[in-house]
Amino acid sequence: MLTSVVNRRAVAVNVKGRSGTATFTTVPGENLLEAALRQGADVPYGCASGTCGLCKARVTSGRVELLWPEAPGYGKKPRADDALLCQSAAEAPGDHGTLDLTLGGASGALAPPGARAGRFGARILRIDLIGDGLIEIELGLDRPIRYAAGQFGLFYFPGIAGGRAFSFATPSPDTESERVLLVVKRKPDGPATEFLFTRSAPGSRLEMFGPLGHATFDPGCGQDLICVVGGSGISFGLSVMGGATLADHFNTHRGLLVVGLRRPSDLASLAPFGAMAETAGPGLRIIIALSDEDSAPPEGWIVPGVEVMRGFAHDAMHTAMAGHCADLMAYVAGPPPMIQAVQRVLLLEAKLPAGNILCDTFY
Amino acid sequence: MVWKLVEGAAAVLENDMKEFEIDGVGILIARNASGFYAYPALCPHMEAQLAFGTCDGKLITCMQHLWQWEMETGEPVGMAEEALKTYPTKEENGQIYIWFEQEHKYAYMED
Repeated sequence: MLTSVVNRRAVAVNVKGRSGTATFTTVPGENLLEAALRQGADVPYGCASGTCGLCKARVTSGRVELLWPEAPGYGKKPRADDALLCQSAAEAPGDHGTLDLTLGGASGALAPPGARAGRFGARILRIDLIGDGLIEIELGLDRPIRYAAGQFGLFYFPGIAGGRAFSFATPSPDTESERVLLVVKRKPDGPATEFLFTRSAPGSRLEMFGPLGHATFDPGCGQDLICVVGGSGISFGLSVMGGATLADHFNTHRGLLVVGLRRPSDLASLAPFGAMAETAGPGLRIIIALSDEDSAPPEGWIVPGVEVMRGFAHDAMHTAMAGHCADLMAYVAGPPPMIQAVQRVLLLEAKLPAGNILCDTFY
Repeated sequence: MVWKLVEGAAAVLENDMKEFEIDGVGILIARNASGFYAYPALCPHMEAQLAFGTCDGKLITCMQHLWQWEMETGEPVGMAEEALKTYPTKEENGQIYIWFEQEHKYAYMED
């Protein structure tokens, strides 16, 4: 939760972009991005957690409180009037009675239809260790949510400033659901994952803002799909390719899911991928890429329908694509070095247009 | 004369790019089969070093948000909303020079 938001009353906000001006109102306790998205205002964002810089704007009238002045999204030479919408709260309107900001770069990223974001109360229903430093968490929300396959939520933990982004690991339900599933990788010195691994239990309460994210599966896309994931990105892979499986996409299109692991112990069971292989159409190929040369899969670990290869995820993808790169959509999620390696193969070797690559970076 | 020598730029490989510095200003030099091209080192979108991106001889891609440009003209392609500014280049006696009167800046760099 925001701990030191100054404003005690609603503030009207204008965010000017190239495509027009987004107008919304903030209430005490919410940052500018949440306020905008809660009201369906069309402002650009990426990570929603202060790192990517896509929501950076300049304050032209009024004052904001910077909730995380050192956020990486400000870059190396931040200006005094820079404000990341996701890391700023309205403090006071300007002379005209409104807080005015102008976007620095891109503008005009629309939220998926029917998925307006909001704040939810959440309760942990179940936590299971599913690999080395990897847990699966089932959450019950205080009301149903509907989201697109590939979207994420921003989770707020007791006593920890700022939200943390985690992808929903279940494919998007056709109807609204009160349950969401997360796969979370333990982050060294990360207070949020430390809370989840050591101080939380079924019944623990948190808050969530969502759904967020533009890297989503479109059931009407009519394209082959490639999805490469690693680390916490596994949840994104389950969601995107699970959503496509539910939509019977692989009966008529080809799909390739590559899951990058260091060693088999990173993921105790491949059952979720085996289940996906079983229910998806004939077009889906699932590959587990093991980057640690010395690791041997234990007996029974490999399941039918899932192939295991040695090497990095981007190499496995390159080999499996074998020149097939016409008209496909690529989804990539995981740590930045993996994402960049995959992007390089897709751009330089497969000559895929950048617009066909959707990434969810886990910083 | 404001042709400035970009020391070492001639060693940039074809279909590759590298960042250099002229009078304390970052300059990206890219090369394809037709020659050498020069741009500000940072993306017109936001403060990201283009040298960390890709160059395939036709397109330059910034890895930050996958904006792309035509290498030879700087014209935006696909999702990119702004063109790359360019510095004229010339090749003389195996060295690369750029016409550098003042630093090209994008909107977000202005004070």
